[in-house]
Amino acid sequence: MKSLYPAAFLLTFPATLFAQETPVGSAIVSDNVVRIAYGTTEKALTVGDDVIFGANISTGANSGNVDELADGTRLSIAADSRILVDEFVFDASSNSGTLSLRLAQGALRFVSGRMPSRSYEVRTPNAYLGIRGTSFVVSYSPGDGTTLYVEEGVVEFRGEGAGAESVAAGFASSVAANAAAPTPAAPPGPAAAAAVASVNVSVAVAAAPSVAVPGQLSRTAVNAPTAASTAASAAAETDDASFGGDGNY
Amino acid sequence: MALRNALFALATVALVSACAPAPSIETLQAKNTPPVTGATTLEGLDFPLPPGEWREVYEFTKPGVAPHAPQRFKVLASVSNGVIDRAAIVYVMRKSRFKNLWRSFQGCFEDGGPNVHHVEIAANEGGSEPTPDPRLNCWHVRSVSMGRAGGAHEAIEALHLFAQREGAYMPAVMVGARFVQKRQFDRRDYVEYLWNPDVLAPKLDGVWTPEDWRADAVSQSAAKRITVDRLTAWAKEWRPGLLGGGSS
Repeated sequence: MKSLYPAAFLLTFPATLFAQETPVGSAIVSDNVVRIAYGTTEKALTVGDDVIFGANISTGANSGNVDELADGTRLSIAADSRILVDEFVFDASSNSGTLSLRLAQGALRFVSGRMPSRSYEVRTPNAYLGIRGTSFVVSYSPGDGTTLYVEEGVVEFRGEGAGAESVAAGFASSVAANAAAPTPAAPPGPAAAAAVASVNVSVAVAAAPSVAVPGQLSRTAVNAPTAASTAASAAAETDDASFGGDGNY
Repeated sequence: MALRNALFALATVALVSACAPAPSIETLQAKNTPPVTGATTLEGLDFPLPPGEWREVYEFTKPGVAPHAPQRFKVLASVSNGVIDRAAIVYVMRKSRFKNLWRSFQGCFEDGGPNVHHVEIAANEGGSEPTPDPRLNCWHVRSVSMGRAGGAHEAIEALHLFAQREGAYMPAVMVGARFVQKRQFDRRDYVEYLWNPDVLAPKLDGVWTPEDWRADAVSQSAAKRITVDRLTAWAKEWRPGLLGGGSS
């Protein structure tokens, strides 16, 4: 007999009947203001707390949160963000199921877990992301719409209208607030860079580095020789005050 | 007389130079030194460390301008997936003469500077003349060049050598917060927490240079502003934990 994760039965019942009790994962990083709301409960989400099916998770200013779901999916949530876990079904014996979540505001890094990639989907108020790979950053604001940057794998990216864009690793796309379709995939611009930075910095200042920036570090390491040669040619700090040695004691 | 003074000066230079050997792979902390978590101690003062494991890289004494006010340094780094993603540089200037007489600290950057993004000065007493027991407590968010051209500071050179030994990525610039205070009457203490911006806000077409993180360049990039704003907010929250023991 298969051992289904407790949330598995939720597929066939209205979420609201069970939303108050069913854990689907837990918080592994919480910095400053991180709240979880489900049913009539609204409380701080601290490290080790359950992430509940159907819950809204929100972060305040200068805050960050990382959650790991039962299938190994990791969500890194930037400051001033809000997500909702819409659907989660996971059969641990076969690593099958579905996960659907919504990013209502802010920015999120999504690193998929052990289920087949097509088991995952992420929505924003004006876009839909069908996941064909493992790691991406997505941001949404009412003014700017949705911005996507894919770090590993491929994401099928759609707006509310016809047409989808297949965005591969290293590329970005966006669905502007007043647009129905995504822009062609292209190397990331300032909006994508800002989304990545907002996630990375929100998490990295609070967390042990091993949970701070999955996916990004390995690619950064590839640039080590470039960094070394850049440092070799960059001017050294020469101001005595830089490290206290101003003699003005 | 002049000859005697010159010889004395040479002897003094030789003496203090011996206290500050240039870092080398051989003089770094041993590769198998256990990692540090929570806090580190230098010259009897505690300095909290952000979460995660830290590696002690190098510890040394730098003579400064006069031998009775040397600075003791401790350099730490955290390494993740082959990348030095954070560094902590701790240093304490401890006086052996005129112990309670101090001038103000020019490094509080009252006027800001090209690499300074945020400044807060709670106290920087003393002015240009030695003053008994002046209060000192300031901090700033700044970018620090990890450049080596022209000769890097021993602390930075040690980080590069450590990265070389570990086969780790060492960035050309780091960004973070430096806190300066005087908790004890005879010593001024500093701690700087630095992050690798190549990790926080990756450059789209290469690696960051020190010029990329000057204040004027930061103001023109949303990703950099987010990074600096978040580090500034972090520093504000971190500061109370450094005030244990009070500042004199």
